[in-house]
Amino acid sequence: MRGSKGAAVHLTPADRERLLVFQVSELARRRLARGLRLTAPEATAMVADAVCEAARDGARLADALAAGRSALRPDQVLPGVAEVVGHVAVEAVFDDGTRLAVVDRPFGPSVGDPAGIPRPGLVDPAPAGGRDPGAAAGTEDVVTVAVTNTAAVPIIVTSHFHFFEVNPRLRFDRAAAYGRHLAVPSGSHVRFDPGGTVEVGLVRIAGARVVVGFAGLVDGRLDAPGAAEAALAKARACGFLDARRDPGAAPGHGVGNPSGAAAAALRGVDEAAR
Amino acid sequence: MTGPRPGPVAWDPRDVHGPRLGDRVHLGDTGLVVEVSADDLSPVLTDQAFVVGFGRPGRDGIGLRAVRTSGSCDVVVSNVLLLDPLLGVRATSLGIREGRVVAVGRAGNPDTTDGVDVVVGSGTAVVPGEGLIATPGGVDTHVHLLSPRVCEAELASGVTTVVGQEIGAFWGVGVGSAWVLRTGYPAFDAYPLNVGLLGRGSSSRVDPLVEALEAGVCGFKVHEDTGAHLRTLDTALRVAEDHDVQVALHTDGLNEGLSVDDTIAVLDGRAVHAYHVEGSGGGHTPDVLRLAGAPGVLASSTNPTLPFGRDAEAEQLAMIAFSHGLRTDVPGDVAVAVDRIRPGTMGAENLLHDLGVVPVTSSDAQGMGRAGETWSRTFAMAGLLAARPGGRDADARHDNDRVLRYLAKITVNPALVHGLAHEVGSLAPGRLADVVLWEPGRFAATPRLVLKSGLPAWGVVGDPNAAVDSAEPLVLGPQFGGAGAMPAEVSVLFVNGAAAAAGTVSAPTRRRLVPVRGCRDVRPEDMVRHGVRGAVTVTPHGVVSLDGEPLVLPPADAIPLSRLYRL
Repeated sequence: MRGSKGAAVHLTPADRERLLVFQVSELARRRLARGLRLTAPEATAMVADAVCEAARDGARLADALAAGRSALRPDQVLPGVAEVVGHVAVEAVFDDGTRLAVVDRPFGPSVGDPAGIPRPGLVDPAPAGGRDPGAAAGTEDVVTVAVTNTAAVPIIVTSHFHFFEVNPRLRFDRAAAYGRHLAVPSGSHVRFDPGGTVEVGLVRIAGARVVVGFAGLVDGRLDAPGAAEAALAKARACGFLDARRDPGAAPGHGVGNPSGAAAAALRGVDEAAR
Repeated sequence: MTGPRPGPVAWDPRDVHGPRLGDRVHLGDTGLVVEVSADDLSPVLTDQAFVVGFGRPGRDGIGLRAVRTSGSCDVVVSNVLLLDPLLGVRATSLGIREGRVVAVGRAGNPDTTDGVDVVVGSGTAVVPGEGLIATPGGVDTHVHLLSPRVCEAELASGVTTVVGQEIGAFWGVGVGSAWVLRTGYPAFDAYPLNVGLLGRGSSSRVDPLVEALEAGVCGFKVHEDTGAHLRTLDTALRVAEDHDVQVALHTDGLNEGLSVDDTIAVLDGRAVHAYHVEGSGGGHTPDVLRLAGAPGVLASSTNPTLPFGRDAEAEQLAMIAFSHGLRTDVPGDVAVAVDRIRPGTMGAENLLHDLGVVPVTSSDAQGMGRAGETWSRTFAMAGLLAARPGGRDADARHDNDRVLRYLAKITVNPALVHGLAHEVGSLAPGRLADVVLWEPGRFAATPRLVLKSGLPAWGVVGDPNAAVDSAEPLVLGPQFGGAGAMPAEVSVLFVNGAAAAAGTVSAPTRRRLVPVRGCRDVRPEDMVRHGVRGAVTVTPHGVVSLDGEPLVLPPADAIPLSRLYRL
C-alpha cells in the first residue's frame, strides 16, 4: 500500500464515467469528420463533452451550457435525434466544484426532407371533439371566493388541497370553501402573493368525500350531520382567518389569530378556545 | 429548492398527465402510430388525475389514502400509456401488491376521487409513468445461455423471461444432466429474469428425459444436431404429453431421416414449438416453413431475418458455420450450410408474421440470433411492413391492431406456447408485475426502466456521483432489483409440475418454483391476435405461398430502431 501512495491517478467512479463520455464523443468526432450525421448516443456525448471541456477551461456554468448548445448544428445529426434527445444532463467539474449542467433542446428541430423525417415520440393531440374537458368542466358546480393573503410570504395552494383548511393566514369565506378544492387542472396550483387578493373558483371534492388529515379540522366524512358546523367552529376557534368573521382585518388585527392557528389545531380546539 | 420564479406558463396537461384519449403517439422511428383508445383517467381535468411531485396531488389526504398497503398498493405505476396484447392501448395506472398486478385503471384515493380502481396509500411507492409507455416484459423462448452476459443483454432490451437451453458454453442443446441442472440453477439467482430451462429432448429412450424432468426442466429441445429423427421426436412428445411440458423443435435439416411431411406425420397434430420456422436457423431444407401452416404447430422466428434486410442472406453462411461447428474450407460443410439460406423464405416469413400466421418472435441468442434485439427487430418489421405499398389503409389514423399483433409475438404468445401465461406475457390483474417502461421516442429500442415483480430491476442509470439520477453517461444497467440477493426474490424458475411439487429438492434455487401449465392443450388458433391458418407451400427454389397466394417480399435497405439509437 505504501508503494502506491501518490503514484496513482485515483480515478473515482465519476471520473471513469467521464472517460466513457470522452470515448463516445471522440468516436463521434471522427465520424463527423467523415461527413456523417450523428446518431443519438454520438450526438449526446458530443454535447456532454463540450460542457465538460468548457468547465475545464474555467467557464462559468452558463457559458458551458452555451458551449454544449453550440456543439452541433441540427444538420450534423440524423433526423430524429432532436426528438429523441430532448436534453442532455451532465455533471462537470468547474472551478467552484462539480455542477449539474442541463442543456435543453440541444439540436433544435429535425432537418431534412420533411416527408422522410421520423417523429419519434411525438404526440399528435386528439382532434377537436375527440376529447373536450372544457365541456365537462362547464357543468361543474363552481363557487368563487376572494382570497387575501395576510402573510408576509407567498402561499401556493395546489389543485386538490381541501381549500377550507389551507394556511390560516389566507382570509376568505371558509364556509363557502368547505368540501371543495381549486377549480384548476390537476397538478397545477394558484399562487397568492403577500397582501394581494385573488378570486378563485372552487369545485366539490369527489369520491366518498372523506377528508383525512390536512389541519385536522374535519378528519372524517364531509357530509356527516353537523360535520361542517363543527369544522367551521373549530377553524374559527383555532384562529383560521375567515372573511365572514374577520372582514377587512389587517394582518394580525382580526378576531382570528392565524399565527397561533396551526399550534391550536394541533393541540385541539378545546384548548384553543380557552 | 431555489430557482427562477415560475412565470405564467402555457398549461399543457399532456406534460403532467401524459397522452389522453384520442391522442396519437409515434413509436420510435418506426413510423408506427398508436392512438389512445381507452382512458381510465378522469375526463375532467379539474378532477382527480393522480400525479406525484412537488406541488402535485399525490399527497396524504388528497391523492394518497392514509392506510396500510394491504388496503392500497405496494407500488403504483401512474398515468402510463399501457400497450398490452390483452388490454389494448390504454391511458391508465397499474396497481401492484406483493409483486403482482392487482388492478389496472384510475389511480388515487377513493375518499376524494370518483371511480378509483387503483388505491394509492400514503406508503405506496410510485413509479411516475406520465409520458411513458408500459408494456409487459418480453418473453424470449429461444435463448442459448452460453454466457451469463446474455442475461444482461436480454434485460437491457426489455426481456424479463427467458426459456434457455444451456447453462454455459457447452456443445449440445437442452440440458440432460440432473447434476448440471441442480448445480447450475443458483447462477441465475444473480439476474432479475424469470428462467425456464429445456431438457435434452433428443433421445430414443425416455430415461434421459425423465432425469431432466426430475431436475426441474420446463420442457424439451429436440435438435437435429443431437437427433431429430422419428424415434427421438416421438419419444420427446410422448414424455411431454405425460408431464404437460412443451417440446421445442429444430427439425432434421439434412432430411436424413425425415422429410417435412414425415415430421408432420410424426407430430400427428400434437403441440410443438417449431423454432426458426423459416429455416436458415435450421430445419428441413428447403421447406421447413410449411410447418407454419401445419396442425398443432406453434411456429416462431429468430431475429436475424426480422426484418428481412439486404444482407440477411450474406451474413448467414458465417453464422451457420460458427454456430454449428462447420468449416468454411470444407466443401461439404459449405454445401449443407448454403442449403439453409433462401431469400425467398426469409421474405415470406416476414409476411406470414404480418398476416398473423406466425405468432412468436424470439432471439436464438448466441446460437444464431441476438439476445438484445428481439424487441427492436419485431417492431422494425412491423414498421417496414406497414410502410410498404398497401401495407396499411390509406385513411388509417393509427396502427393499433398491428402494434398489438406484433406486441403479442414477444409477450403473451410465447408465454402461452410454453405454459407461462398464468404468470407473464400480459399485465392483466393476477400476473407478475414484470413491466417495461419506454420513452415513446425510444420505444422497442432501449427501455427506460424494467420493473421485475413491480420493483426497479434494470434500466437507465447515470453518473453515480451526480446530484440527479440521469446525468451522462446514461447506460443500461442494474437497478436494486438486479443487486445483491434481490434478483432471486423478484424472479421465478419455471419448472414442470412434478418438480414444482417436489420443491427445491428438484431445483435448488432461492427463486419461487412455478409449474408450467397448459402446454399440451395450446393450439395455433389460441395465439392472441394471430391464429390465421392456411396451407403454406414452398417450392424447391424457395418460393412460398399461403393457400396458393405467393408471398414475395424484397429485402429492406435500411431498418428502423437501429442506426438512430446505436453507437
